[in-house]
Amino acid sequence: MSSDNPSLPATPLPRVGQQTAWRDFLSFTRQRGGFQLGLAIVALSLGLAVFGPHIGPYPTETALPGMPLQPPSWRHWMGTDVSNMDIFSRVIAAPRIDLTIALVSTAIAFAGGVALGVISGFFGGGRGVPKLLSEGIMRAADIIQAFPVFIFALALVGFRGPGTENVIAALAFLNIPYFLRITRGAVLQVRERPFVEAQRCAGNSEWRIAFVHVMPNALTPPLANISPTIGFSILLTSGLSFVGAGVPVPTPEWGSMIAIGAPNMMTGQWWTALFPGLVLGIVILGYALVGDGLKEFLDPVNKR
Amino acid sequence: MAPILELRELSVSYETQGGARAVLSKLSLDVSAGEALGIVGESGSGKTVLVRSILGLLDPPFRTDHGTVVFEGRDLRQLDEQSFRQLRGGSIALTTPEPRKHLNPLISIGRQIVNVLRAHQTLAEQAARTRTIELLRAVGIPDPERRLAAYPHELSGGMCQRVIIAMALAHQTKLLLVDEPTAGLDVTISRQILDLMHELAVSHGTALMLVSRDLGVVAHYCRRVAVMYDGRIVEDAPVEAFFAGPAHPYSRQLLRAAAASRGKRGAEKRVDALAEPARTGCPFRPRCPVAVAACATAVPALQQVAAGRRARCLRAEALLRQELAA
Amino acid sequence: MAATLLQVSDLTKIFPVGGGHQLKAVSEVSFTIRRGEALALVGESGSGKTTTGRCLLRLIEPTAGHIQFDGVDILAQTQRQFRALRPRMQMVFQEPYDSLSPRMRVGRIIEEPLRMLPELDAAERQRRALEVLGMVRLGRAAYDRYPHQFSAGQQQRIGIARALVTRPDLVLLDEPTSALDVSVRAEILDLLSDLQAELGLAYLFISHDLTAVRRVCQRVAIMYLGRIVETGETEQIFEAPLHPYSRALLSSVLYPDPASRLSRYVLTGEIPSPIDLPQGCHLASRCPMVEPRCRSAYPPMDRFGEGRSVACYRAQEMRALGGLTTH
Repeated sequence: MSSDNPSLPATPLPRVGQQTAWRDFLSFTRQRGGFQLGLAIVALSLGLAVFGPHIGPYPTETALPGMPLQPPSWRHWMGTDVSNMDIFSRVIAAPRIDLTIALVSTAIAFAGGVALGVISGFFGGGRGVPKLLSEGIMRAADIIQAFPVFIFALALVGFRGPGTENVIAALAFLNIPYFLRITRGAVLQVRERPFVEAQRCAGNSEWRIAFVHVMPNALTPPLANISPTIGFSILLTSGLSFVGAGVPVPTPEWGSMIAIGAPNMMTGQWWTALFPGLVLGIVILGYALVGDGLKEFLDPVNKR
Repeated sequence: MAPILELRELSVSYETQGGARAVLSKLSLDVSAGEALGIVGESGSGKTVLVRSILGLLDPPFRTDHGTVVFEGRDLRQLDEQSFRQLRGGSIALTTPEPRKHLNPLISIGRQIVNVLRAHQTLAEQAARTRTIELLRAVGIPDPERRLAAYPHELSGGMCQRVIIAMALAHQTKLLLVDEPTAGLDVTISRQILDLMHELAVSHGTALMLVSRDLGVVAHYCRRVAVMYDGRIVEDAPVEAFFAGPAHPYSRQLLRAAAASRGKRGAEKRVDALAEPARTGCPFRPRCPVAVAACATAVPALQQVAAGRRARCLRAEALLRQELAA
Repeated sequence: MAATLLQVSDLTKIFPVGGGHQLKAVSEVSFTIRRGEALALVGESGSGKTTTGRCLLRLIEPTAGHIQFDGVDILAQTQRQFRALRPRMQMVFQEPYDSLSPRMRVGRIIEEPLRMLPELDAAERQRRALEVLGMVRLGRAAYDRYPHQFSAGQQQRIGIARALVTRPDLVLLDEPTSALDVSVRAEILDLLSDLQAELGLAYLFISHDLTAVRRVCQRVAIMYLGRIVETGETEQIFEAPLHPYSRALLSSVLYPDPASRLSRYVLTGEIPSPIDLPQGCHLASRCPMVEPRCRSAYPPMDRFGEGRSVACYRAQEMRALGGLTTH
């Protein structure tokens, strides 16, 4: 018996689990070109969100003197738009607003969706108030998801008027059921494992079991879906801005840039909408690639 | 009696990222016609791999590197897939744990047995049906005419195991490989199944190779026992002599572990039952209470220690003498 | 004689299975466990042994019956009140790895039940955790590691340490060795015996592994289709069972000794479905001793000497069959 020396082990042992996880991640990444590309795009987009508005060669929200609609040249790599603003400067400044909206709304959707998913999954099939709560959550999610996403987003923003906060709120609201369902599926599996029962024997309350013991073991699927959701949110933000229900002009934003440029496409000034659209597509692709990679990496079936 | 199965220096390895790992190391073993041989070992000893390698059923990353598997004078490793298929379910049959998983859930059991019958011989549908009913009756399935139409999920685990045995008996099976016959079955049911296998083997003159971690099964249903540790046979002895006093320290640990009472440990030193097999010298050394310096130099040979008994241990003869004295 | 620790009377658990049918998993089960005593609850699939155990810890709520733990009627308590008793009734699970939270360190896993004892501070909790790690012969190095870094046998030791950290009176062992290899199984069984003697623990040992039961427990209760058919001292019952089912079950055990010959007692057929069981003795359809009254009413538990009870009309005649061992 070790009660003869009740003091702590002098040096904490190395955190073996975390070290190997990091090493696994590196070797996983090394074998997958698509995942590397995705990571590079995501890193670049995050970098532009921070520094983009400051590193462009021209101001992003004021018209330059001279002729509008200049084609791409050494002075204006992506040309200028109908107000004679430099498209390149605006394209690299756009992540500031687009990514902020996507990240904040996804974070809110993740937190809300996971919490509701744990509640509805853990208490589903039970009895009494928690069961009603669980059922209520699922029906609400059904209702939200019954509408076409874009139309619903449009309606929400239309209701409160355009503006960054309102776009964030609409996107978060729309993505909650998505995280909720994924989390609920994972919780339904985890709650059947014997360690949950062991925690009951350890005197934990049901709420504590749900959030302290079950939730950490059900986070993998929702975590893997953060990245594609960010991509999707960027797309939706641009979509809303394109129809004028999103970020108001002249804030540099890909969707509104495409909208501004679209009429000029018809008259031969192809660069006005092409470059924002191209960058938008590449960024969404990057987030999708990272999401796919993470899904594969976090899937226990692929481990060993 | 002449052996019907002779394994000679059979080596199987397992491909890992860090290189190949031996699962069976130069394993040699004979099974005589009509004999009941028990193979005993814990998980990781290689006993299931042994059974599957006899039937040529090993899939990558497992690989048979070396050795011969001679059945009735033919080296099975030289056979083409066509002739091998004729042999499997014909002269050699296999029963596995979790019998239900080895039956097709979408086909009635009657149809499955008929398929096995007609795969190996030309038989009219009606004749095959009649034979199937006979077989089901022979393995103790009540009301066989009606059960023909039953699907695996409608039968209990014990009944599914009986169906598997019926398939194994569909032909003049010379060798029945039985992998973990008691796994997943209740005590009384597994006893019924073992009795059935035993009776059928005796009446048909079938040799049994019974792979189990349960020493009780081996004690009562086998005449000879081979103990495996780390891909090698460490002891091979007649059942009576083995249970009276095993020659290998590992066998002694197994026997003591399986007993219904705790027994006396004596003055033997405590060892770590979880220690990994050693990579040099005798693999059992880290768990061995009687290891000496010489055990670290090489893997001991499987040598004769008494009439009809072989053991892979430098101390075997000393241990047997000690056993006799006690 | 030591004091009664747990008294279970007429415990019944009925599961509705749809279509108006019922599965009576446990019916009118009664038994007692004294302080420091190991009682085995044995039986085959569908016997209700696991359900009984889970009712005791209120992991499922029984349909009827009483459970007195150290004089307290635990079924009269709310789950919240019962939480105060949990430290005294702990459990070891069948699956060594799956019963440990995979993302927690061993130290935290073991200390988790101590949250029920708020008077302990962090240092004391850690001292206790290290103490039980020592008791189960795992070093203190285990404290900072994760469950997946251990072998199945070591994981089961962690599970035992967690069950002991609150210094319980009763530990429910639910098939604690069925997932383990032979030699590891023996180590765990011996450890459980040692701990029982050292700490004066009472065990309810739920198992279908009859040699394990014989090795660890002082008393046995044999269950068949939701009912206890026989209880008594382990050796008495293993030597000369009086109920036809116990006799069939115990004569099927294969001891690792070719010289041990048990006189076989064979029941025909397989265990029937536990759904909508007919009146009368549940064994009636398979029993060689069956007579008309067996089919009309379930036989009462009759006493046969000190601590021995059998639920069979013909137990007296079974006695004439004598012991199982033949020479």
